[in-house]
Amino acid sequence: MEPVRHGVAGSPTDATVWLEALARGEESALAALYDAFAAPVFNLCVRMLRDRGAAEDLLQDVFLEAWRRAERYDAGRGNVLSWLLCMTRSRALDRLRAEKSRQRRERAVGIRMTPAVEPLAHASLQEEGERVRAAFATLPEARRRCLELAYFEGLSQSEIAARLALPLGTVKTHVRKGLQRLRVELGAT
Amino acid sequence: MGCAFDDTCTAFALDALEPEEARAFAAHLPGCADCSDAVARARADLAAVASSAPPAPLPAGGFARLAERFAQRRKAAERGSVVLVAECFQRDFLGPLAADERPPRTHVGTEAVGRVLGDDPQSGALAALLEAFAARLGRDTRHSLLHVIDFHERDDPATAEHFAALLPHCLAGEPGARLLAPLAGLWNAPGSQVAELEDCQGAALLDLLRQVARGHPDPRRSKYAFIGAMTEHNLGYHARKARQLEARAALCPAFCAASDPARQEPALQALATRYGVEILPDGDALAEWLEL
Repeated sequence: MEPVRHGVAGSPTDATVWLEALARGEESALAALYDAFAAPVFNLCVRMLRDRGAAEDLLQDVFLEAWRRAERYDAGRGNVLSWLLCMTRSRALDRLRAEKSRQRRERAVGIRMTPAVEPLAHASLQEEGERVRAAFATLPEARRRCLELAYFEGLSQSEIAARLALPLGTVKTHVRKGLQRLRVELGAT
Repeated sequence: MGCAFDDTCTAFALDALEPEEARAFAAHLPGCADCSDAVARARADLAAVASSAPPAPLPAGGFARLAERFAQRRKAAERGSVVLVAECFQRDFLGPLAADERPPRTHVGTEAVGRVLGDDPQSGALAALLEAFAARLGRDTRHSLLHVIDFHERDDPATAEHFAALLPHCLAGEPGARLLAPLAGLWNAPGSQVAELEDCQGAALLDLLRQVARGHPDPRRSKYAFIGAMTEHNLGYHARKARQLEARAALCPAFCAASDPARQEPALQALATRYGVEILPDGDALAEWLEL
């Protein structure tokens, strides 16, 4: 069979075809997806977990989960990259929450905690994704911060309000308007 | 948009609502086209937020490692998962007691402890079983272990009723909550997961059982064996959940400490006849069932 590996980010149609092949267990489809999407997925892993080792694990787990869920992917609900990023965020939030629970449980049942991993030094900015980052930077500070805390750290609106000492109503507005502004900046409809 | 839930759509897409608000909004959503559109639009916009993460160089050899794990999991998935669920191997349930020690009400009693842990917990039948099981554990292997544990904060008002019934037990950070020796060694093993007892109710337990059989899309191919220091009622509850996944489920009475032996036998029979839970007579049968 013709391998489906591509060196560049494929069109959305390609990506859907890769997922179909992945659902059948074809490794070449996994390679194509990885080539196309590992970079944005990994950026998100690192941004959320702030630990390179944990981010590498998560990167692999996301692609393994993509294999497991490939059959249920619905192109009508978003493109493959959005689907992968959404999965990445959910799993990263699971881990952030699980880490807190793990520490609590270890203290509770008297198990020695495993040593913490070194925090990751921030990677330098590259060109990839620059447009989005530039758009993000145009947001008023408070709106950007609310959006970041909600998206990358998984805080609820009440938790953000407490963290930033803002009224809950203000946080709600910041989150909604921040995202709207981002859409306008990126020229989406 | 003319809907009262204006601000809520974005927060819902972000999963940033409090649980109660999220439930109310989820109920509202199907009947409101405006909100459904707004949620879909917000979800699409969130991909842009994700892409605002600063670039990080991809790990070298990342795909090779992924391909290796993929191959392992594919092989494992063909044969299904083997999950051992170990419940409450904690001191206040079945810790060995000193001669003059008065056990907490959750304790299964000295006789049951002796039967499950053996004379020496470090070298008895349970230890041998766990050692063999540990050798099979790994991130991408068929075998995985789920620890179910119980612990409470002393002053948590939510536990007042529970403590009124059972007296304080498994207090966080105190000896009673400690995990017992043969299980404690497997706490952080790869392929080992931990759940709190309160999590093991209703749908949450089903999700957990599914999740612990990681990488295996069809839960019917998985099998779950239950051992532990809870009553036959609790173990039975978990085993029935496994059967709800249409997976094979087994109990081994030799490793299940019930506080009331007179009630254990009929409970096990009911599990076997009503729910098809397999009852394994001894450690050898369990080891074989677990494919060790």
